Amino acid sequence: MHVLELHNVSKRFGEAQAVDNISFSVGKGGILALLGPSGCGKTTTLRLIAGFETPDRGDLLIEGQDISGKRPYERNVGLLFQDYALFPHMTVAENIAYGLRFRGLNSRESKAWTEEMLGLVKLSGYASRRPSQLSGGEQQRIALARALAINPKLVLLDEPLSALDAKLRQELRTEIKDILTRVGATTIIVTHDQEEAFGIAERVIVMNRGVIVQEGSPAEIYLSPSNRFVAEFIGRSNLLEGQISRIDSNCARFIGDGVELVVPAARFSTEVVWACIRPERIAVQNVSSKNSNMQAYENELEGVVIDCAPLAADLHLLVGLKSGQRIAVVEKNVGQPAHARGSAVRLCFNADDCVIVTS
Amino acid sequence: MTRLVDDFWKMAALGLLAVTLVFLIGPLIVAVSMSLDARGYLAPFPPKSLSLRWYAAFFGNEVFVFGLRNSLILGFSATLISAAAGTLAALALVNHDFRGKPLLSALFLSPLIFPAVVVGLALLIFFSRLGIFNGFFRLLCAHVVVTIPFTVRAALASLAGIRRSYVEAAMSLGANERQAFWDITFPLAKTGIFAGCIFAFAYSLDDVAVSLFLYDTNSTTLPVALVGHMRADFDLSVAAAATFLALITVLLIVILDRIVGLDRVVGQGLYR
Repeated sequence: MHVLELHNVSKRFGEAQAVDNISFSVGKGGILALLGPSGCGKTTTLRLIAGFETPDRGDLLIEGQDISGKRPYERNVGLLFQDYALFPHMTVAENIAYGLRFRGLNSRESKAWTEEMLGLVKLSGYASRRPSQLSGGEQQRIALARALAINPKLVLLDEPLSALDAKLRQELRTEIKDILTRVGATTIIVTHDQEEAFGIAERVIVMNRGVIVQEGSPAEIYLSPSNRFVAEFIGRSNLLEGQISRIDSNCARFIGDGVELVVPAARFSTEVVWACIRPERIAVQNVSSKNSNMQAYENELEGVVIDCAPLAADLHLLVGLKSGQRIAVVEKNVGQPAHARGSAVRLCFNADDCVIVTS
Repeated sequence: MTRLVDDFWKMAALGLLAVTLVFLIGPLIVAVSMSLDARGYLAPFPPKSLSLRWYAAFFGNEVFVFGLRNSLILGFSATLISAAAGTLAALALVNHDFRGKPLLSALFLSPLIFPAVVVGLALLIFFSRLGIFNGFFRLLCAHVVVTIPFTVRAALASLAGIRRSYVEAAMSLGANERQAFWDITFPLAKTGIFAGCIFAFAYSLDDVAVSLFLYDTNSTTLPVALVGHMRADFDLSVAAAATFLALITVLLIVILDRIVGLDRVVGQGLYR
């Protein structure tokens, strides 16, 4: 049985349709991410599930029971707020034990359980501290412990890592994932940050303008974006606008933006499409060094290096095509000589490295 | 050149400060020292010798003691009601959006703007129309009205500083609205609410303009009794009473500073 189900849920704020007829479900122990730019309706969805907003239309079910009419405190949904919302006038232990007050635990049980939760987030000695004495990462883990302490049916994480700096973010991402898996918590993460979504969630729902654009595993969403928005929003991509000109048995031809490409077999249509090529799928060859045993590629585009920046593990290249298009390329930085600005290069990739998307 | 101009303005500011202090504290010093005058009549300043005779006279005067008792009872009850009503009003103003919200918040603060005489007279006419002649009840209503700007303002300022996510976190953990208020909102707002209470109490204890219209013989407040006494036979027990009232105010300020911190009250409690 699904822990959470949304059926055709809509919510409007005045003129703005915040959430437009969305449906999805999460199974027990599943970790789902709602990913989208700000204003896409993901936060409203979270607030609808938590009970801070009521849907205009549609059904919300937790373990098969309709909860649309229930108050937040009747839902048993744990929430990790973006600003953590640790009660500043309470100690860490009091914060974690707060939800236990309403669950009929005596003080000894409550204390033992609080200790256990502190152990879970690896902050055992912190019981008597105040939230103001904690670092951002510690506050976040305490907030997670507090949300998990009530043994919720569902845990909602609202941009859990956005308030932390980059290095800490990576550390806490693995840690949150580890804690959630150990507890077996059914979780929904709401975020605009794809690293956060892909790093923690098993399944991702991409939202835009109040509707669900694509749902799938992180790999599916990255490798086969369902439309132009997803291709642009997730990761970096080179988008070339054009049309499918011909369909062959196992591939198709794409013409647009001054280039002609072999792309995977597509359904023929006259509408405008985009060829999406991820920067790391493109190999760069120097035009001058003629190497006979070079692999043959289905697509080869000639261009001139505009910029080449070695960014730690990766080499970021920007190549200008004759047609004026600029193509971003990412190569592994393995000590190869840098491509000089202005040098002529050939961009090589196969049909399978392209994805054709529509608007 | 600029140095000279700067120096001039600095001196001018210091001079202004000194004049202000003299005008503020001067009368207070005169009143306090007169209240300690050992002479039995209204004699020129400064006193030749000191005694507590006027304090004895003040506390020996039944009308004054009765007035003081009334003033304290009235002050405490009015403050309590005003704080409760003010906090509830502020909660509604902070947490909800509704039509006429600006109008309502202006109304709550309006008694501060109207002259006390106008408020007193208006309430007198109002109560007469309603046939309410109980002095204490009329004073209580009036003092709640005139002190509510302080409690609303203080509660508004402290409630606005409380993040909404605190209450939402409490509710997601299982607290209903009432529990969330008493566990989270109130503890976080209480210093501000308390500061409002002290201002309200001090205002109520001090008020004469509104009370003069509404008191009856069973509910004479101390300031009203003092005014009456000054008209009938002016002696220095009035100075003793004034000093005593000033002492209460000083005490309240000390309490306020101890509990809340004066900077916070003056800094954000009132003028935010």
